[in-house]
Parts: sequence; structure tokens; C-alpha cells
Amino acid sequence: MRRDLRYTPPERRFGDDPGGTPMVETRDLSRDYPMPGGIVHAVRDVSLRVGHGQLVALRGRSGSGKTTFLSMVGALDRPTRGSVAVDGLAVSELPESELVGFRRRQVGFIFQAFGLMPILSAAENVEVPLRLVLAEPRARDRRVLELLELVGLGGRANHRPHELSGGEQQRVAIARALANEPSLLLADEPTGQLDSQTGRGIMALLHRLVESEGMTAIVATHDTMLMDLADRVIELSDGQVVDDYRTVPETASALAAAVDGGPIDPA
Amino acid sequence: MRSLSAAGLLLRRLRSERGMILLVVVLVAVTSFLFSAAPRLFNRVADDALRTAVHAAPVAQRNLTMRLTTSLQPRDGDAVAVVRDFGEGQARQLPAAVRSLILDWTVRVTTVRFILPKPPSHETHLWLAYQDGLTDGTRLVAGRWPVDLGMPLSPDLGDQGQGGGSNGGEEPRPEPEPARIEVALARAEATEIGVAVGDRLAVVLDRTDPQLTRTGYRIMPLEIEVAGLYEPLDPSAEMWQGDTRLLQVEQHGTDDFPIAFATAYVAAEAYPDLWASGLPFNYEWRFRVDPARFEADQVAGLQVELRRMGLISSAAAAPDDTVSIVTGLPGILDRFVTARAASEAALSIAAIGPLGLAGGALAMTAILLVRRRAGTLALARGRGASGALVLGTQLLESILVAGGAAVVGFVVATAIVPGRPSPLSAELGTVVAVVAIVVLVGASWSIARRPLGELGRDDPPVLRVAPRRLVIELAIVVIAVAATLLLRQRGLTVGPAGSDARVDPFLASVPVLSGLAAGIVALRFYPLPVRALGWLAARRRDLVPVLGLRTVGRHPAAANLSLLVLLLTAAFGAFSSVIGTSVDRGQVTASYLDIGADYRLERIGIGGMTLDPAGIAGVEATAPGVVDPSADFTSTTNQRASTYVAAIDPLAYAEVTAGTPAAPGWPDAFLAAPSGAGVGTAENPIPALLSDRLPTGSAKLRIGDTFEMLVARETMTFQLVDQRAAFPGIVGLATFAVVPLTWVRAAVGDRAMPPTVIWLRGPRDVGAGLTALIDAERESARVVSRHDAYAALHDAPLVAAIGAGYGLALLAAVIYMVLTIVGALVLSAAGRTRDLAYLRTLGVSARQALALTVLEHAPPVLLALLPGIALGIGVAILAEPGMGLATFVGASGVPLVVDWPALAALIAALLGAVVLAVAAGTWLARRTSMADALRIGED
Ligand SMILES: Nc1ncnc2c1ncn2[C@@H]1O[C@H](COP(=O)(O)OP(=O)(O)OP(=O)(O)O)[C@@H](O)[C@H]1O
Ligand SMILES: [Mg+2]
Repeated sequence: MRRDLRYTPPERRFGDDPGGTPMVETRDLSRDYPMPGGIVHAVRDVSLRVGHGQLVALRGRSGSGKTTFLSMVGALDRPTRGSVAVDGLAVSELPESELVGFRRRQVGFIFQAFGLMPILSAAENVEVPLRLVLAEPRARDRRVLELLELVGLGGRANHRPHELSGGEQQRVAIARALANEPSLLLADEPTGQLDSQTGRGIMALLHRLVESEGMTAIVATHDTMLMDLADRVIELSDGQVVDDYRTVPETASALAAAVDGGPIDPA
Repeated sequence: MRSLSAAGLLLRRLRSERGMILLVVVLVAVTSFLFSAAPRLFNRVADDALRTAVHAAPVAQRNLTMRLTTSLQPRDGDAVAVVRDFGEGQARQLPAAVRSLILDWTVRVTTVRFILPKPPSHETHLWLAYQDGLTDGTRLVAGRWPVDLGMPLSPDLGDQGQGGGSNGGEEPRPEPEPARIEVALARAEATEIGVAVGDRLAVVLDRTDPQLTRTGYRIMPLEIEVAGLYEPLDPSAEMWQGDTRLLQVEQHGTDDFPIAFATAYVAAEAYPDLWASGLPFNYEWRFRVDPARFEADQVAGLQVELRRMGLISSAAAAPDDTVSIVTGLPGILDRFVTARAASEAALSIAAIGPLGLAGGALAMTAILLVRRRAGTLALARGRGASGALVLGTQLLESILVAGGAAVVGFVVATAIVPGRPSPLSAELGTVVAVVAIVVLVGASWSIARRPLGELGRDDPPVLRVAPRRLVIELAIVVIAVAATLLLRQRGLTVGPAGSDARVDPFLASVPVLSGLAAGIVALRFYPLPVRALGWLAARRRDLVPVLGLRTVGRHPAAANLSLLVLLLTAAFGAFSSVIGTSVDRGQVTASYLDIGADYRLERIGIGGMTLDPAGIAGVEATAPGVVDPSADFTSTTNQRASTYVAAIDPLAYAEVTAGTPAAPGWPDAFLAAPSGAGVGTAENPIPALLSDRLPTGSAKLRIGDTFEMLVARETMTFQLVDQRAAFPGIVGLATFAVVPLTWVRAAVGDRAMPPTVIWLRGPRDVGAGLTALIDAERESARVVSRHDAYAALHDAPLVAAIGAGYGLALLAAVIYMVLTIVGALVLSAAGRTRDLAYLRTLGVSARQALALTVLEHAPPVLLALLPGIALGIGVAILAEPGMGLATFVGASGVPLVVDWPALAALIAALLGAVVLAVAAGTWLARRTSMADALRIGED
């Protein structure tokens, strides 16, 4: 499972079989919260497939189940019913011990509240996932710099989170999420704590990264700008998919990814 | 919106933060209760200690004895009434403070000394005496009580040329019928001097009596008739005042030429007959004090009165017949005052430790409270409340809440804790209230003054220290060092020793000051090694060590408080352990040096013992010795002196005392068996050990020189092989000699030499067997137990109070410490669990998370514990000379002893408490799960 940490050009990774397993596949995915007033169905019977290299926008009113859905896909939470598979790996069935490896290598999270360690500098924060996979120190240090350059923070490596602006903090968080080259990026309202101008910058960055790194991203957001950038928009309401459409494919990669994606009808 | 008045803000707050406010109230009330109760309890202990000290003192010392030598003329019909009246008059002149202690008093009238010209057995001197209550305290075993025969003893006014013989006798003239006085004797006396009921014995004035030398008293012939014999119901009863006259014959002389000094009891009614002789009498009024009437707070006044009293009595009476008052009370009181001052000093330090820690716990609660209110405060300030208003509100609240709680604690302590009230209670209660108010207001100071824009933000971790803060910290360190030096120099108590000394609060707070200073130094410097380790860990590939060490090295400032508190607790624990152990070991040593072994069986009077305690179950070893309290000593200069000499079986005694502080460390010469001919002669002298101070006239004696002593009725030659300042079991003597019994035995040949002392090794429960042995053998011997001597030192109320006080203080300190640590964890919990939740989403396993938690806490805890322990030991070393602990141990002083196993146990207990606190804090804070990481910040 050890991955080569050296930078891999996107072209090579696009060699993946486009017609193979989808990046994310859910079947009847449901999550119930038993509450004193009755069961809350946060997510119910969601069945969908997301292809490789897609940027998916997840929208819906507050309380519609976006966060719940993302946590199950990222294996932070287990479904009440149904299943999730990521790149063919049935994460909803895996024991916790194997999920640790999944979180380290397959998936990257981006949070509304950034989630940086306040005592660590930007570079040290980015370093955390690399240390978790026991990367070789020299390659690790090189990768950290490279990632910070990638998000445009090459000059801020030694700044602590409280010495950075919100947008800069989120960019550090993105660099951290990308550290182990995950195939899936999950972002929950990444611009929620930022002003719209900065938010746009972040969204553009995400879009650019998905394009250049060839990864799949599911981004829960209210931001309309992302709707325009996304390859696909899924709307949730009361835990169910109420809308799911593809935007006009702009690049070859997006087109290639869009072919095998799309909702499947619940059987 | 209502106006933003302080009262309005306050009321809203009290409603919304009931839990935290309750915590503050409980903390302040309990602390105030503890500190208000402590002085009352100490007063009780002090009263108890004083009464115990008075009670334990020998009767003759604690009571007052008034003496007068004169001749009081009896009134018609009532024999000793005039003596009583005189005593009554004297008693009335006693100061009220002294008089109030007196339970009752008795009279004793003793004649000058007579001698039996024809003693039935051996040379016998005799006093006649009347003592109040003798017939009640004794049992008649033969004959009847004496009565007055109505035969007055007349002075001899005849020819002055006769008498004054060198042998102290006067030749009785045959013609006149001798006057006769009936007497009763103690059976022991009658046996010793060889008389029985019905015997009539002629007595004459004993010219060797100092009261008769160079006087012209002469009397007509006198005869005593033994009417009855009695035995004391209890020879140790208080009525005898430790005086064995009227009970036993005082033996002098030697085994071959014994001389008896006896005292015979006469009826009170016989006093006028004796008075008729014109001889002087020794009158004694014995005032019995009641130990229960002593109160510790009146000691100072009593000491003044007692000192003044000496003056009054000597000035009031005529020079010739001076009334003298004898009592050991001033000494008893002085010793008590010294011990109380030492105990007070030790307990003040014990109290200051928890007080400092209570401040820490309170500060932590205050920070929690303020943190919790940060939002509300920001809102209030946003609506226009000024910083001053916020502070004012806080002050008002603190006074109401903390002040009220302190008053409650004080009132409850006053109501339910027994003991004499002490002004210190209120003072300490006030200190608690003021500290609480200052801490509570101080905690909100930063919020009240921070610019509005920064309110509500998380405190950023502090890396750089403000210069002003450094200056303050430096000042504390300097003051602490100066105070410590001062303490070492001056001691804890101010005022001359023996007076009602009071503990100087500044000096008593030295331990806390130095704790603070050491804490500051430790906190300033300990991130350095941690960062160095972190730098090393950064070279590794893995995450946990580097992240853990970085967290510790860059922790937020609030975490310092729990480290400081832990350091102080460890220091206080180590300090009390060292002091407690040292006092205890000192007492063990003192008891060994006092008695010389676990037990000492010693003969009372002259002659040897035939007892053999070796067979008693539990006795592990015995060593015989022959002691002569005043042996003739002749050094080379031929000057004669007398000295105490103990001939001890060296090997047996070494076995009895092996491994104890009484081990003699014999010079080699003692251990060799006597060899060669003529042991004890100038050719083959016996090795001997002498006191540093040599007996009179032997100043030139050097190691290797010889001298002569009369031991076992033989003059032997000894050679000085060693000199010692002290020897176990020999107490209060300026000069002494110790010689090997084996050699002395070899010198006297086959003549039997029964021991006068037997030292024993054995546990505490052997004591009963030894007492039984003595009783069974009807020997006049006694058992002296080191276990009892140790228990007397150890269980003395003031010493026990120190032990209990330190134990309680340590318990309180640990509780405050745990509270502070839990508070600190709760304070940092939100941030820590949030960080951990994020880390888990990145792929940190549960086990790594646990390792991280351990790594975050272990180095700071160790870095606080170790300097804490070192500090505690250091303060003990510095403060001990000023604490006057020697009072509890006796002359031998208190060398500091560090009991490492006890310290290890203390560390283990503290670690246990810390682990518990961390577990509790973590449990209280377990709110953010991994699945919630995505929801953080949503609100
Ligand atoms: N731990 C929980 N216990 C009970 N109910 C929960 C829990 N977590 C979420 N819910 C409920 O599940 C539903 C979906 O919540 P979720 O957070 O997924 O919505 P969301 O779309 O992310 O909303 P938002 O846009 O406000 O972030 C909501 O009704 C919420 O109240
Ligand atoms: Mg959400």
C-alpha cells in the first residue's frame, strides 16, 4: 500500500480505466439519529456513483444531510443502513483498524473551521499526514514545500495559524489534505468562515487542483460559484437526493469522468 | 434594554452561572473553615500539651513547696493549728494566677536530726516528722498509731562544759526520767534498722546535722517508743511528692559499713512536747496544683507571676527564718513555651502550603469562570459597559460571593470546632477572603482591559515573555532567596526565646515564596530541554513523539498553573516528609542515647541484682554492668576526685545495641579479652574510656596515661584509651568513666560481682515480662524502657499535632492540586479534544491518540515533581535550624533524614492523584468525537 510520495504528473494518473469502478458508490445509504422526539432521518436511501476526477458540488438547505453524507463517505461515521464504497473499497464494512489506513492515504478532508493544530506552524501542519505514513524525512520536507508552493503559501511555511488569515489557513488545510495524494477529497463548506472574495479564491484553487491532480472532490457548499465550476451538482433535501445534474463539460478530463458517473435508480 | 448597572449585570450572572459560583463558594468556604478551625484546634492541643507536661513532671517539681526553718509556738489545745494558719497566711499572699491552680495543701513538720547512740543493727540517724494525711495513705501492719504521751522534751539548761563529742553523741545522764515520744515507722525502715513494735530507743541530737553544728542546743534525755509499723498504700502516690522519707531508709556508706538515715512518724499532738525543747523545726507546706486548671494562653502571665513570687517571699520574711518557695513550674512552663513555639513554627509552615495551593485552585476556578463568561463580557462591553464597570461588577460579586463564603466558613468553624477561640482564626479567615477576592478580580482583569476586537478569540499560545513579567518574576526569585537566607539566620520565631514568641508570618511564608520562585525558574527553563528533545524527535519519521513534545514545549500559559501547583504540592510533601522523618528518627536516637538499650534493669540502692531476665520470652540479648555513681578517682597528679563509673561487658553490650544509635563503637582495647597476670595493676592496666571533661585534678591526663579508680572496693589501675563527649545511657553527667566489666572481673579474681544494671534488647511487648520478673523476685529494682521513652517523646501532644497537622495539610494540598489540574484540563479540554478529533480524521489511531495524551502530560509532570521534591528537601535543610525542632527530641538535636522509600511512596501517590485528575478531566471533557470534526465551527 506504500505510495511513492514523489510528485506524479497528472497525465499518468489519468491512465486509470474510465469505465472501471466508480470513485464513490453508495447504495441505500441511510443514517438515523434516534432522538427523544422520534428518529431523525439525516440521510435516507441515497444511492449514487461518482466517477474518477469529478468535482461534485453538494447542495441543500441547512439540515438537509450534507455533513452526515460526507462523514459516511469519509468513514468518520457509519451508516445505519446501506453501504459506501470508495474506489471499490467497502469502507462502511471495514473494521476501525483498517479505516485508519484508509483515512491516511485514500481520503483528504477540508473543514469549515480549517482544523489546523494551533501550536504547529503551517509547514508542521502539512507535515502531519506525511508523518502518519512514515515518509522518509528528506522527501517529506521537500513535499511539504512543494505543497505550500502549490497553494501559494511558500513564504509562510513558518507561520502559526493565528498569524495567518482565514483564507491562508484554509489553503494550509488544503495543502495538508493533499499531502498523501488522496484519490478523494471531501470538503464541508470550506468557505463557510470566509468572506465571499476569499471564498471564491479557495473554490478556484480547489477546482484547479482537481483539474491538475486528477482527484475526485465532493464539496458541500452554498456557494453558487462552485455550482458553475463543478462537473456535477447534487442537491439534498431531508436526507434525500432531490436534484442531480451535470454542468457543461469544459475539459476533456471532466468529460471523461462524466461518462461513467451519474445516478442509478434505486432498484 | 435595561440600564447596564453593575447590580443588574451581577444578578444576571449569578442566575446564569449557578454551578461555577457554587464551586467558588464551596472552595472559599471550605478553605476558610480549615484555616479558622486550625488555630482553635491548636489551642486545644496546646492546653492538652500543657496539662500533659504538668502532669508528667515529677510531683515535687510541678507542686509548690514552701519551706521555713523556725520554731512556731503551738496554741493551747491545738497542736499544729499554728502551722496551718501560718501556711494559710502565706497561701493568701500568693498571686491569684498561682493560687487558682492550687487544689489543696498539706503540712509536714520535721525535727532536727537525732542519732541512736546504741543502734540495734548499724549506725542509724533519725528524724521525727509529722505529715498530714499519712495515716490515710498507709496501712497499719503492726501495733497502733502513736499518741501523745504528754511528756514534754525540755532543753538542757545545765552545765555547758559537757557534750559536743566528736562522734555526734551526747552522754545521757542517768538521773532524770527521759522524755518519751511514741513513733510509727514504715515496715521497710524498721527492718533495715532492726527495730520492732514495743522497742524503746534512746536518741540524742545528731551534731553532724548542719542545723545543729555550731549551735548550742542541748536537750534532756529522750526516748522513742515504736508504737506501730505501717506500709504505704501506694509509694508513688502524689501525697509523698516523690519523697521517700517516712517510707524508706536512706542508705549511705558501703556494703561493709552501712549508715542508715530513717524518719519516724509522730502524732500531731506530740508537736507541743517537741516544741518545748526550743529546737528549730523544718516546716513544709506542700501546695498541690491541679494540672487540669492550666491553660496555655495564661502561661505568659503565670511565668511573670512565678518570677515575681520568688522576690516577694524572700523579701517578706526575716533573713533568719526565710520562707522559701520551691517549685519546678517555671522550668516546666519554659519547656512548654519553647515546644509550643517550635510546634507553631512547624504548623505555620504546614498551613501555608495548603493556603498557597488553595490560592492556585481558586485561581483556576476563577479563570474557568471568566473564560466561561468571556462571551457575555464581550457582549456587555459591546453594548457600552466600560472596563471599569466590568471590573467593578466583578469586585462586587467577589466580595459578596467569596467574602460571604469566607464568613460562613469562619462562623461554622467557630460554632462546631472545639477549642479555645484564637484571634488567629479571624485573621486567617480574612486572609482567605482577601486572597479569593483578589484572585477572582484579577482573573477578569485581562478581559476587562483587552481591546474589544480581540475578545472571544482563543488565547494564542505564548512563546515570548513580556519584559515586565520577567522583571516581576525575577523580583520574586530575589525576595525568596533573601527570605530564605534570613530564615536560616534568624529562625522562625521573633522575640527572645522562652518568652511568648510569635511566628513571623513573613519568614513562615518562605517555603511558599521559595516554591513560587523555584516554580518560576522551573517553568522558565523546562521548555528548553523539551524543545531540544522535540528537535531530536523531528528527525524521526513518526508523528507522536514530535507532536507530543511540541505540544508540551509550546503549551499555553494557563497550563503553567497546574504545573506550579504540582510542584508546590511535591515540595510541601517532601518537606513534611523530611521534617517528620527527621523528628521521628531524632526521637528514636534520643531514646537510645537516653536509656542505652531497649531496656535497662537497674538496682535501686546498694548491692547487686540476682535477676536473670535472659529467659524471658522475646529478650534477644542481655548485657550486665556494674555502676558506681561516685567512685574514687585518682589521677597521676595524686589529686582525688569522684566520678561515675560504669563497668560494662563490652561484647554483650555491643550485641544488645548492634545496629542501633546506642552502639558504643568500642575502642579495640575493650574488645580484647583480659590477658596476662596482674590485671588492674600498673603493669597490666585495664583500658578505660573517659568523658571529654575529665574529673577534677586530671586535666593533664592524655590518651595512654594511667589513673586509679576504686571499683568493686578495690583500687585498680586503668589506662585511658579513648575520650567521648557522651555515652549511651549516661545522661546529665559532666564526667564519667566506662570500663570493660570482663577486665574488672579478671582483676577481682573469683569474688562474685553481681550486676547492678542489665541492658536488654527486645521488642516492646517484653516490658510486661520484665515488670513481672521484678515483682516476682521482690527485688528493689526497676525497669526503664526505651520504648516508653520514645513513646513519651513521640506521643507528646505538640509532636503528635505536628504529625497530624502535616498529614492533614498534605491531604488538603493534594485535594487542591487535583482540583487545579482537573480545572486546567477542563479549561483546555475543548481545544484539546477538537485538535484530537481533527487528528483522528487524518488517520491518527486510537492508540496513537492515547500515546499523545500520555506524552503531553508525562514530561511536565516529571519536570514539576522532581524539582518539587528537591525544593522540599532544600527548604527543609534551610528552614530546619530555625524551626527549633530540637525541643521535641532532647539534647541530641535533629539531624535531617531523608526517607527515600517514603518519598518514593509520596511521588507514587502524587502520580496516582495526577493520573486520576487527568482521567477525570479528560472524561469531563470528552465531547468532541471524530464524526463531529466536520461540524466544528457550525454552531
Ligand atoms: N449527532 C446528531 N444527533 C441527532 N441529530 C443529528 C446529529 N447530527 C445531525 N443531526 C441531524 O441530522 C440532520 C442532518 O444534519 P447535517 O448536519 O448533516 O445537515 P447539513 O446539511 O450539514 O446542515 P448545514 O448546512 O447546516 O451544515 C439535521 O436535521 C440534524 O439535526
Ligand atoms: Mg453541515
